[in-house]
Amino acid sequence: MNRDKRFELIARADSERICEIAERILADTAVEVIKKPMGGMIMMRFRDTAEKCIFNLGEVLVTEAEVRINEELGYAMIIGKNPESALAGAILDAAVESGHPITPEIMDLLKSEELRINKELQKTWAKVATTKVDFEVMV
Amino acid sequence: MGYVPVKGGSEAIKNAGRLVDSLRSAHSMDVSQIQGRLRLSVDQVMGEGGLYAPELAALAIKQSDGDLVAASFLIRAYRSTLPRIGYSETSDTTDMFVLRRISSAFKDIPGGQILGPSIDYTERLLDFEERGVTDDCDADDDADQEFGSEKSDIPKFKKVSDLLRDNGLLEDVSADNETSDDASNEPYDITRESIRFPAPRSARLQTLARGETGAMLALAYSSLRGYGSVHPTIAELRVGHVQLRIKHPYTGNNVCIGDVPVTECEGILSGVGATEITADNRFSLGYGLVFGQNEKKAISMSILDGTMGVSEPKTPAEDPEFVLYHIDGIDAMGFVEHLKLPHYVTFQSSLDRIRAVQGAGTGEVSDD
Repeated sequence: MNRDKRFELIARADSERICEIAERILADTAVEVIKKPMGGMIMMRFRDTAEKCIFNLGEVLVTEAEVRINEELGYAMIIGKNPESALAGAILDAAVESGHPITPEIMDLLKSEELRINKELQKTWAKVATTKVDFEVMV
Repeated sequence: MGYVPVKGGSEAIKNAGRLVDSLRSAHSMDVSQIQGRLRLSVDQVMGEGGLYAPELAALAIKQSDGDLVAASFLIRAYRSTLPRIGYSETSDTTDMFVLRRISSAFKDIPGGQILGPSIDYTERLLDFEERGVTDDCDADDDADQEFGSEKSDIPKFKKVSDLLRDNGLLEDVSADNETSDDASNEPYDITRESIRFPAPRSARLQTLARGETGAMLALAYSSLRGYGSVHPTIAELRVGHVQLRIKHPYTGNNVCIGDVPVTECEGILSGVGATEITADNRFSLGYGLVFGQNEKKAISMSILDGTMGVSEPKTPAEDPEFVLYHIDGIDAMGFVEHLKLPHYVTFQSSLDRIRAVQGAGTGEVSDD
């Protein structure tokens, strides 16, 4: 799992689960907070289909954090106002990057979160698919 | 008359707030209930507030006692305290996780018509059984069972507008717009710079996207009723989730941090006016895109996008300055509601003037 994939899964992972692992990392590891968890906005840009013009749709509330463990930086960004998750996510990212012994556990967590997220999407789609229209031509 | 400063009312103001609290306390409501059960209100507030933040939008609705424009105002005020961290990578809805997708132009569209979550096809009758019913936490599970758990791949749906374009039925898009990713063509940002006229397309779309649903609906309706020339056919209306993608600060790669629900409407401008058919005998499109599920706003946006493209504006809905200056709910509410504030001095001056005129008039009345 590369860094980009890890970042994406941390951003979508269950908050409690990543916070629990982060607590355990903090118990035995020196973590330097580079950027405290801070709320901010990402302006969402779209391209319209009528004239292919790029425009600003609106902003999305996000929380980001950055930490360092043994000279390795870790970064996370989460949608919403969630400082605990953002900090925990950055700690997990830095822990993996610095080769922390808990790394296999983090990887297992992220893989199981990926499965859970995909399962939820499948479940939603299964419900949506039942609303597909089957037209009958009237004669 | 001299200017007389006055103060007072602090106690009355405090008590007015307490009185509101006393009206609220009878029915306590959790923010998560608002987010879950009043989802369309939450979506509307996020769109008009210009900030995707469902939990805070629900909180704003609670705090404003259900006044959605006031709730949007709270969201706008909150967003003004936040730093802008950056910009997303440019998205479109091609890869949308579709929840709903319909076309009123074509019966058969590739992938089919998906009704999704909608009450469009139900009777507009009050359901008295809902009265006094509290939400049951197990209801979700029960509903899931009803749907079954058949596994199928999640499809991507080709856009109807792309099909029209492939068939040479839509006007060609200018090469300038296609390549407008580069910094020289930075989209206008109305949150940083007040809109000026003639407004570029990016400013028009951004202003419409955060416009007030009711105001946009009224103006779009005026065009349909004849105070304008645009009466589109919906090529496609789609509701679903799009990915929010940013550039990773370390790797520089395009990464996704989550999904944002949006509604998109593409209207074929086949009205009776100047926008009907382009010079090269092709249709043009009106475009609407808004946060969350807000179909009447997305459709209204596509209509107003069309009306504002008319070469010789004749009606309010065709005048970009009229439309864009009057659809902002927060601006409109602020201006109208400011009338409640004391205007004692200005009105006293009007009173003095009218009395003077009346007095003078009385003096001038002749016996004829």
